[in-house]
Amino acid sequence: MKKCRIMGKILSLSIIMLAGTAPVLSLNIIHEEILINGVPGYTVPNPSVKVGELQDTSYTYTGADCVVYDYGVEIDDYVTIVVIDTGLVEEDWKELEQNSITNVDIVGFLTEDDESNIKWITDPEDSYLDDQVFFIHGLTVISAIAAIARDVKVIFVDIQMSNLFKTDPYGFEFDDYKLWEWLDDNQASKDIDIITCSLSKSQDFATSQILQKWDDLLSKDVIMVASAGNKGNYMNQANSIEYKYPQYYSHWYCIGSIDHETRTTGTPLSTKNGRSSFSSWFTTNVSGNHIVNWLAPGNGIPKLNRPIQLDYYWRYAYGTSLSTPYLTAIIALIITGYHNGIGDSTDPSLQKVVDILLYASSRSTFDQKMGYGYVDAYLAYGKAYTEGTLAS
Amino acid sequence: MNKSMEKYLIVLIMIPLLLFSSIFSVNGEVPVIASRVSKINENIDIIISGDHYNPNKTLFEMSLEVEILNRDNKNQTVIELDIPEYVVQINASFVNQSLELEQLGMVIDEGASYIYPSGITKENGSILFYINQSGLSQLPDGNYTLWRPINTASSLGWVAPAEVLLTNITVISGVMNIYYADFVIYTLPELSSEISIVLVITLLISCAILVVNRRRTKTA
Repeated sequence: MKKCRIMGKILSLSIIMLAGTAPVLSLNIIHEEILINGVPGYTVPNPSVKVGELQDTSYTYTGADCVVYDYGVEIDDYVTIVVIDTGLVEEDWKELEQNSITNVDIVGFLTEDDESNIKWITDPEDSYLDDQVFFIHGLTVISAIAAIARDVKVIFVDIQMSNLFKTDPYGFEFDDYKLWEWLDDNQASKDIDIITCSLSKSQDFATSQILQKWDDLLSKDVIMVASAGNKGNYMNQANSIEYKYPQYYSHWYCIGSIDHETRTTGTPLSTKNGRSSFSSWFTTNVSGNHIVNWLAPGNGIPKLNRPIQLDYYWRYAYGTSLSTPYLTAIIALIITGYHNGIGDSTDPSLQKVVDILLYASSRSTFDQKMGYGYVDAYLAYGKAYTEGTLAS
Repeated sequence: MNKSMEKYLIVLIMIPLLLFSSIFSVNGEVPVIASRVSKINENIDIIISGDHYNPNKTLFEMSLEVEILNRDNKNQTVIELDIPEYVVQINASFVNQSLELEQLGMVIDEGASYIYPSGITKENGSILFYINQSGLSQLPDGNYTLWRPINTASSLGWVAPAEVLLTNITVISGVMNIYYADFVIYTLPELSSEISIVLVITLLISCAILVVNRRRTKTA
């Protein structure tokens, strides 16, 4: 009898001890759900608010929500962004133009045909697009632009890519002079203002002819931006795979990633206002563009994802591939702000755009790893509008 | 409860702790994911036309096989900081020190993750690289190293490098010798949730019996 009583007490104690852990377990689950916001790899909750009204912290951090949602600024008809990427398919093209939350106007798809002639496609149903192999990243970059630079005109440039498993034989090589020549020759007629690239080559492809074309584009006030990289260390180190082109060249402004919020769960972690742990930077021991010029949010940014079942959906992603279109979109807002201020489609000079970016930068001094910090979209748009007004 | 019963209970507590201590500590210490280049085709192609052809250099294409080892019993996530065109990397030091190797490749600066099943997954493909001398008919003498960079998510939430084994090629007088590193293959013991629960309950009951027994002894 006594033994039974003892055993009973022991069992009760065990049950109490086990039960005691239950609230902790459930608390952890709730904690996880709250912090899921912004975590790369997870679906964006309530995208019509988070993206549609730009209430996600990745947008409120720079004040993009004030410019785009509160003031209702849409990009005017006189801003065109060239997106250089690996591919785009018919469904993604159509979705990017018709997404219910935000969209862009893809005016054309530039590539080369089987005989290495320039091919300019304006119909998303063109059969050429059926053969695209690598195309997910194109959707990522353009959707990241679309979230902020609404209705902006986009020209897509198709670049070849292969990996161990698949080969995409279509599109340009970076070192194809025709590509840069076309961009330069058509800058005025296509009203090209910005060229953005979230890719890099490990070989230097810039021949003297290509460098000349880049010089020409700069002289036409085209701003060229490219991603800093995700290796979390310095680049352009001699004898290393980390050489990055075109980022190496000072013709291109190089964009790293800043953490817009603190997150203690998920991968990568995030510390508000810090350079994202993956965001690469440049040493000073080599010639060329050895600086990261600016950072932009790139750790937990909404992007449009291809449907798993029925519909496209928004998902958080990370990488300087996301930071670069983010800053690209802010530059589109700057050019639009200038147009709105001046009252016509006169573009600001490249130097003027850079001055506005510096004015709205979070840092007044340059830092080797963070450049001039991030650009406040609200300050930048206001400054651009004022500059336009003063120039009118 | 007598002393021998108490000893028995202490042993009961100690056994699982000793037996399963490796499981409790394993996640932080043993690389679950490992990679290696497991096969290289010694017939290395020299490419003399096409988009990448450069008359001032020799362009080589090396076919190879990569193995990714997941030592866990369940799927593991591999994290790529970016998406490289060619996932295998190569570098070299040449006898002729004026020679340099330049690997072709493009990188997409977006993070990505992939799921790898338990055991070994094989990947086949090729890499392209230049050596800065035209007209070479074979790999120049020297030492070459190949590896497949790979990362996993650490328990702290950040990207942690996994185990990367190096494959070395030595070329002497044109003769190629390849040295493959071998995986240390063992799988992590599986600790199912059912076993965990039984284990925890056994420990708790044993502890509780000991506590009660001590109290009774004191009272007496």
